[in-house]
Amino acid sequence: MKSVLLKSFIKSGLRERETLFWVLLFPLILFTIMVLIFSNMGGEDLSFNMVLMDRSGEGMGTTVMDQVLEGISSSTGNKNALFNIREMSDEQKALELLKEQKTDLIVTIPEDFNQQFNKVVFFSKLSRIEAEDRPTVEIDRVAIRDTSKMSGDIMEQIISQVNFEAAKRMGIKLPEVDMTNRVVGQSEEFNYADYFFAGVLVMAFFSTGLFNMGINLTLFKQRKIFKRFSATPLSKAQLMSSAILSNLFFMMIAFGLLLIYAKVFYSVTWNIFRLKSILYMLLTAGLAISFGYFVSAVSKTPNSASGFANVLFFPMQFLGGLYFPVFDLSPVVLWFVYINPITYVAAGMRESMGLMESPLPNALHYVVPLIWICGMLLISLWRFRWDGDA
Amino acid sequence: MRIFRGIFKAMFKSKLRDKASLFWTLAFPLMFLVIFGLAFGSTSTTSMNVDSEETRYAIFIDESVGGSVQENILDVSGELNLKPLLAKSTEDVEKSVKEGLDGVEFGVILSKSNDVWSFEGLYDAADMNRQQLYQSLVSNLANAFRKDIAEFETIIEVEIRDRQFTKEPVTSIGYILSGVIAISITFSGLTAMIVSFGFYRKENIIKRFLATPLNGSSFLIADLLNTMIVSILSILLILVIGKLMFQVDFVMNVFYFSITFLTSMFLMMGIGGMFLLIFREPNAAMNTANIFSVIMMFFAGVYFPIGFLPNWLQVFARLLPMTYVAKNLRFALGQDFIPLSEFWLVNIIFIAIASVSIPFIGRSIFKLEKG
Repeated sequence: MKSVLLKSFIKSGLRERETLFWVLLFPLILFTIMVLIFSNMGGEDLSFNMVLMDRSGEGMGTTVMDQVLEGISSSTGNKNALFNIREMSDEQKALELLKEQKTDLIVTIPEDFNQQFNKVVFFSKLSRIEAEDRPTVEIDRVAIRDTSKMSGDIMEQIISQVNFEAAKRMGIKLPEVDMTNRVVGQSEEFNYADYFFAGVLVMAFFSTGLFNMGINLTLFKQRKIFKRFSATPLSKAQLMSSAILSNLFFMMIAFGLLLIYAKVFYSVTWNIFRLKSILYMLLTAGLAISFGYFVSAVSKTPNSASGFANVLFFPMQFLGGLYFPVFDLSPVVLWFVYINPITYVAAGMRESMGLMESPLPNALHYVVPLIWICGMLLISLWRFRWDGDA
Repeated sequence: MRIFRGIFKAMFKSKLRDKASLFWTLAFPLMFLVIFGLAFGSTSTTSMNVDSEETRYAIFIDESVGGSVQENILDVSGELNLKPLLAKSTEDVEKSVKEGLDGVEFGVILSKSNDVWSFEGLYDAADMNRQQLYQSLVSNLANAFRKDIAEFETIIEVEIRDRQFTKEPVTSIGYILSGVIAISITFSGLTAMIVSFGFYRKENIIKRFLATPLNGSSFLIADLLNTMIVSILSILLILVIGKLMFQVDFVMNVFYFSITFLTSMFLMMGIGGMFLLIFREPNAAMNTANIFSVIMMFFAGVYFPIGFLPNWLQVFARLLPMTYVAKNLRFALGQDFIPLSEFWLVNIIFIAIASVSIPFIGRSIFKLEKG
């Protein structure tokens, strides 16, 4: 009898396009969006629009700058060039372009650039040349626009490298500096797809629990379906366990789909046979189910259940570290991060994947979610009305 | 007029009772503002701070270095607006970076071997979206240090001029808040017609309404007006909370803001209505509207700058109406500048699409009901 009921719950869920979309398809869409955006943050596909106003005429300094700009300009046919450079002579027009967001920065090489460049090259060894007498490249940008600010910073760094190169050619001995980078707190090579895989997986489980289970149970209450079931030999425990199992089934399908998709298209390295990873998945599933039960217990209509589930889930997912790091947020929201059970399962899951170490004590990864599960279940058992009359 | 007032009142009450719709119209933009404002308000979405404070970093200077390097580090850090915190060991640096102790954002291990200085930058794995920024800070620090110890005078100087094209200085939170208002308008507009025409139709409310002597346009106008009022309330709430929590002062051009609000709202209503006509089933239309909103939220330059997207996605972002809603709103709220020609062109296109689609949707739905 129970298996018939379970099958009917699953069939009914599979017939609902809404369930299929939010539980199965939406995680794939969100995962794709997040990976596409963040993978590009490294700058592989970044390019900026730049206006160049070269008033310097001909000379040694101009030659040096031309060589530098040629190396970073797309006009030379370099497809990975960082800057699309447009030459202009009218300052007002250039500023108009910057104002109208049609360019990210303006680089101006002033008239006296060559004269001062020569002065530095030939006379700096004889006497000190003041900063205002040195050749200057002027950069105009709009700091509030992220791309404009970033392009200005990059140009400044490029010119800094030019300085070192020029010093070397002038025979100035500079100390050698070697720069290396190391990421701490990660066990294996970091990969955005892995990072978001864990986040989106937790999101998918919670979507199933809160929206599928939470709203459906509320609907059953509202339409007195449970009341009708009570006229059959089915017990309440059988009813509830079938509802829970059908949701676990959807979570497994969501996991399977996401895993195949992420492995095929984004080479996610998740090892499903790690015991710890499986434990965190079960813990997340338990949390999602208990929250779903809670939503159905305190809501009278599916509509209010949907609103309540959204109000709960929005801060929980964004302040649970599913999509961006949360441990260094402002203290005003940090308290929420620490009471949020999603924080613990997401951090634990990533640690179990060997992706990044969690700053939280290991025991808390299990204890906090378990406390929440117990709390939610107790409140739900107390508040849930099978006949729908609250 | 009395009858119109009656319909309007009934619809308004029904809107307030619809918890799911209230979430997307009121609670969602507010939560978005509070969470993202508190999370990124002072550092913007990509951690590039306009009103920058000192960035703290932990540094361990190895014994191999010797001499008075500490002073050089202090000097150059000050020039770069960085604050070094001296660590006793490499493990200390690692710990500070991992746990963000004393506000440390990244770490540096400085050593020297065979006359080669070595700067090892340490970054927290959890801060993946800021690593690019921190690497560039360590690179700047290494370069400045190199110049400082050699007493090398820069050959080519760089003068950066941060231009401001708005009447008042703008802040990153003000920028985010304009985006939140764009989200609010988009959600309200997209779902408006689906709720009124889709769900009302499903529950046979329109049919019952058509049995009365009233014409369809009163129903349509009452509904549009309702959506507008609820959306205005939502925007006012966002502005008040923005002011109280984040001290955001907008230099609002009321005329431009009203134009943007009206045209954007009508356009979004038209798009939502088209979803309803295509899918017929209000739940399917609502889901499409929600997914469309989520996609727009991510790609329309509200949360992530469009310039940071891959090139092909930048083209896609420029096809999304919310991109232009956000741009026009930033302009109207004095947060950024766009040419007036672009502002008007966008508004004209929006209103042209809406003035064709909304009456068409209204007529089609009423026809379906009469049929």
